[in-house]
Amino acid sequence: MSLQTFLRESTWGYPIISAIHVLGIAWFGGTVLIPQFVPELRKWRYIGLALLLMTGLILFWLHPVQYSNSLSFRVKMVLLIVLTRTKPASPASLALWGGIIVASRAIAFW
Amino acid sequence: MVLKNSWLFPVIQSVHLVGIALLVGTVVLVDLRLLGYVLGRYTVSEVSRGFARWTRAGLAIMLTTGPVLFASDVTRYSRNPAFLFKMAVLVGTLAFHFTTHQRVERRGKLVALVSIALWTCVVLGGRAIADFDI
Repeated sequence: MSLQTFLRESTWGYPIISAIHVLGIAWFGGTVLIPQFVPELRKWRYIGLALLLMTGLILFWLHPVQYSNSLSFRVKMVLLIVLTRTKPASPASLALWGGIIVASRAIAFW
Repeated sequence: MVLKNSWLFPVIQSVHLVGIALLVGTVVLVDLRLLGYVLGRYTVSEVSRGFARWTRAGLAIMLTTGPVLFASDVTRYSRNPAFLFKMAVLVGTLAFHFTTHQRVERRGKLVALVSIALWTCVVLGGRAIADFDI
């Protein structure tokens, strides 16, 4: 059985990977809240981003067709691309993060 | 309630997620400071005081949006094993947070590790709700 099939069909594969994805958001969020701490937490912010990216790729890989067909997922990807053009922890980037979270939650609906 | 089928549902879920980022994100950073991994230039008290109002804001958001999401489909959540697991762990985690974790003199590496483990289980239980519908 391939790793992909194993993760897709196991009881805990999907929940654990998506929980790490959510913890990545929390991790990143904590590192941008206090301006005084932001520079020192840069390395930790990158770890959070790496977690988000890795688990996000795995989640997509488990259900590529479902995600590609979702309007919300496409909106999320566009917002992510825009996000890479903004300054980290700036108001614009935080607003985009908000939009990305809403688009993500909306995947289950549209 | 019709909320569960409305566009408001993902919006409230998103606010709930931002609450996680504030609450769990700040608690875990204080724990990582206790473990000596981050913000070494600041004392544990400075880090914990710096984050305190964000932790409180996150908790307030969670305890407001959570019950709204629950009320949108009481039948679904009350028999969902992941939700029941989350609530059981959450009660323990909050008790731990407001007793042991908040008393500076009791803070040590073990307290930090237990705190990280407990909050991870709460997030895991919450995220798994969608995967354990009966």
